[in-house]
Parts: sequence; structure tokens; C-alpha cells
Amino acid sequence: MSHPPRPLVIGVGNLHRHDDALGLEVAEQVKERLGDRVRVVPFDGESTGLLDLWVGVGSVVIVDAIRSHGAPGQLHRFEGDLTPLLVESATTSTHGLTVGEAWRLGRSLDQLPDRLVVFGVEGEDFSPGIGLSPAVARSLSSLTGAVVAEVLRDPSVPPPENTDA
Amino acid sequence: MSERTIAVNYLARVEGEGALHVRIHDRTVEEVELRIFEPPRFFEAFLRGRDYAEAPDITARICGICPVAYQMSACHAIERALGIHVEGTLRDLRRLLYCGEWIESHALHIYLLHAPDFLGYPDAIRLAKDHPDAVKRGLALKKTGNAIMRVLGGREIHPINVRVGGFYRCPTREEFEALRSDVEHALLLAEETVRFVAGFDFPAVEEDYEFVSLRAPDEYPLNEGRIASSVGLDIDPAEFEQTFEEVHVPHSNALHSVRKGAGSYLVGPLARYALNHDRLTPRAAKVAREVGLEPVVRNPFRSILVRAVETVFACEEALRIMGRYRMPERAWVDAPPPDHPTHGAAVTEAPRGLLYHAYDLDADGQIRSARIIAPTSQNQKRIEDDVRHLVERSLDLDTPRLTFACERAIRNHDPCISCATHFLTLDLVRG
Repeated sequence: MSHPPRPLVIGVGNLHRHDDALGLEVAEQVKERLGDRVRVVPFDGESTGLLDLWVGVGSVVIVDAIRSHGAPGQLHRFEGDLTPLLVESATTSTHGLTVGEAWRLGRSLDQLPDRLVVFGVEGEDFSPGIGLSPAVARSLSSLTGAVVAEVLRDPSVPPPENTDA
Repeated sequence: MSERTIAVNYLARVEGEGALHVRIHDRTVEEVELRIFEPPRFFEAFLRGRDYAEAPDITARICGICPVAYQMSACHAIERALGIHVEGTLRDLRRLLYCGEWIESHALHIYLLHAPDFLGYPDAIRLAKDHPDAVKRGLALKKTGNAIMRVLGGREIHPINVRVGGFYRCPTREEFEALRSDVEHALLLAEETVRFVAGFDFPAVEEDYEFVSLRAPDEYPLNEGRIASSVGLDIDPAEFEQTFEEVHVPHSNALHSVRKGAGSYLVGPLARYALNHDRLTPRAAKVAREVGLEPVVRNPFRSILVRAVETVFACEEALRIMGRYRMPERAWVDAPPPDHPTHGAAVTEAPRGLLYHAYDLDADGQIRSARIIAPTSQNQKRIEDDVRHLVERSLDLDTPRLTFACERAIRNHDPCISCATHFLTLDLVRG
């Protein structure tokens, strides 16, 4: 008997670009909280790879740092339509697609998951270097909580082990 | 009297930040400047004082599309300085890793960056709506190139398994067996790609290029060979700086390269193919014949076809190497520090053409100086020449059409502007 594929959480980021590491950090914390109940993938590659990651998966949650001139640490949530994430994409190189562009490409190719949610947190410092800026670091715990709550809405997530204990 | 300016303030579908400025006065093209304004990145300065063993990993960071090229040129240059030579299976594995990068990079350029120009779309995303099967083919090819890099290089971007003298770890035969069917499928996709792009409409243009590439006795060049040109140049890579020179121009953060006493030259797929078409693998040669690809291609728009043929070659070569692979006892040959100051230089064939590295090492193996000359900076002057000729031929086009034609002429050469930005010296003048 086949089981539905587990929900997928993808943390997008670059460890060496300060606040851009946010998605990777959240992915790590979600993994600690939920263990094998969901599939968690840190992703620092080129975004056409996202299409391969989410192929055949019902529910996907992506976490990424964003830059939209808002207050650092501010949380954004997008579901289904990622058009707002395309605002700055006109000037980017297609040698590296953004998450929004990967979504557009996936839509053109009919390669999108059934449900796609993106959590973005406003970053402050994307310069080379390691470590989140203070406002973004403070958002880490509430963002992780929001991602966990989002994932647990999916009925295919198995219950935690030892529930009878 | 009239003056007309063509300005592209931010070039799309190229890697990095560059602009184009063309000034036409009374139907005379007075200025063509490919302006590379992405700031220089000072990698050569970072390398000073570092251990020679660090060079492959530091220089890999110059580019996310062609990190293998940087690793390979760094390894070969340092190995020449140390007087060691990597042969046999380890040499094969280096070629295999490079094949992965060529497949990935060429598929990206053909389908996501270049094909939209021929089929009338602003970008690959809109191309994908009407030609989903073509874009899926490109993504599948790219994925296979990435898979080779992951299995052999440890990861897809900025591989971590390359060291001076070879690799940190060699894959098992089983790991390659798992990859074989993907590469066999990629070979079919690459052949389909050649037939697909052969159907495009190509503007009838011929440029008088001096082609420069590696040429090896019995293989299509990747890692090794002598530097040859279409006008008879035949030198050892160590003679690169005696033969070519970099010139600073005020409008660019990349240096222009010229052959001393001659002028601009072209590196990359057109040059490699012109000087090595007789060394292609059988299926690459066959499909090139099938679509009527001439032995020397001087039409820059047809570079997409040459990239597709080179993708077939890279798949075939990858299969050949994996097919005869036996895991070696050691993944590297010893590369001990020199006991005297030494110098080494090498070139390898990045997807976009010749990539030159040279290092001066101390007796204890510290890098005293490094010199890196990327393919795009070598091609920059030649790209400006292409644009100049195009504008001279197309003066009657209205400005939007002429602007688009200029952008296409640049994209023909797949410039990687991030790679190209560097300065040899920085002069600070304070008042």
C-alpha cells in the first residue's frame, strides 16, 4: 500500500550571506521539532532545482529571506500565487532563478505542487558574512512556529511517536 | 548631422551586471562599449599568502556556473609549479567532472538564455508556456550535468571534492552505475537539442575571428593541450602572458585581452570547435554532419548549435569514462610543498573558453601572487567588435530593434560578467 508523500519543507538560503541564511536556520529548527514526520530540505542551489524537489509532492512550504523595504524581521506569507515575489525579478540573471521565477516556470510547465506556501521574512543584511542580524534572529522562533503550524494542518502528516506514552 | 545613442542599462539573460553603450554619429559608429560595472572582486589578492592547497576551493567561488573550470585551472597551474602530473583514472575523472559542468552550463545557456532570442520570447519562462517539452528537455539535461557534479564533486555548486593532485575521495563503480542510465538518456536529449536548434533561423553573418583554444593530440580539449589559434599560433600554456596581454579600458571593470601585435580574439565553443572538430566523439561528429554544421563556424548566432554539439560530446565522453572506470587505490597523487620558490601556469577549457591561472609559490607553498584571466574578459573586446559590425550593418533599424539586435549579439557569446571583473592593480589617488 502506498502512502501519500510527506509534506516538504524547503529552507532556501545562503549560509554566507548573513540574513539570507534564515531559510536554512528555520529548516533546521523545523527538523528538530518534527523529525521524520515531514521531509525537510535545506536548499542553497540554483532555483530550477526546486522544480525537481517538489515534483510529485502534494504540499510544499518554502522559507526564504526576502527584501522588500519592509521592517527587518517582518513576516510575510504567500499561498498559491507568488506574483508579489516577482517584483524585482526583472533585473535578475537567469543564471540563477529566484523562487518566484521558479514558480512561474513550474506553472508554465505544469510542474507545481498541489499546495505551495511561502514564508518570507524581511532581511536586513545580505552582505557576505555569517550570522543573522538581531531583528531577524528575534523572528526565528515565531517563524519556526508558523511553519510548524502550517505543516501540521496537512492531514498526511503522521502523528508523533509515543503519543500513548 | 544626427547623433543616436543605443543604451542598454542592464543586460538581461547574461550572468552579472553589465551595460552596453553605442554612439552613432552621422551613420558612423563612433563608440561601442560593453560596460562591466559589477565591482572587481579581488580574488587574486585574496589568494596571496594562502597555502597552495586552498587555491582550488577559493577560486571555485568566483563563479556558481563554472566552479569546476576554476578548480581545474588552479590544480593544473599549481601541479605544474610543483612538477607533478596527474594521469590515468584521476585524469579521466577530471574530464568527467568537467563534462558535468559543460552539460549543465551549455543546457542552461541554450534553453534558458539563448533559445528565447530565436523563438521570439523575452525569457525562458514565457518560452516554456508555448514550448514546454523543449524547456523540460533543457532542464533534464541540466539536471544530469548537476548529477555528475554531485556524485563526483560532492555537490552541484562549488564542488568540494577536488584537491591539488586529484580528489579527496573517488566514487565507487556502483555510484557511477546509478548515474549511467541518466547520462545515456541525456545523450539522446542532447542529440535532440542539436536537431531542435538546427531548425532556428540564423541571421546570415560571418565574422573574421581569430579563434583561440586548447588543442590536444587525440581528444576534444577540456583540461590539457597546447594553445592553438586559427592563424597558426601553437604555444605552451606557460607562454600565455608572453603572447596575450590585458589592457585596462576606462569603461569596464574587466580588463580587455588582446594578442600582442594582433588584436581581439575569440575563445569558447566556436573556437574549440573550429580547432578541434576532427577530435569530436563519434555521435557528436555524426549529428553535426547530419544538421550540416560546417567545420568552421564564423556566424556567432550559430554558436548555439556548436554548444549543442559539444553537449553531445560531453555526454558521450562521460559515458566512455564511466564505462571503463575502476576505482583507483588512491584518490590523489602526493603534491608536497616545493622546497624552492616556483611558478606554474595552466589553461583549461571552461564552458565559455580558455581560463588561465598562474601562481608564484614560496618555498613553503604559500601563494606569493596569482593571476586569473577568465574567458569573458578575453572575449570582451571581440564582443564589442561583433556589436560594432552589427550596428554598421543595421543602421536603418529603429532604435528598439537595433537595441535588441545588440543584446542578441552579446548573448551569442554567453558572457559571464561576474567571472570577468578583476583588476590587477588598484591605484588610489587621494587629494
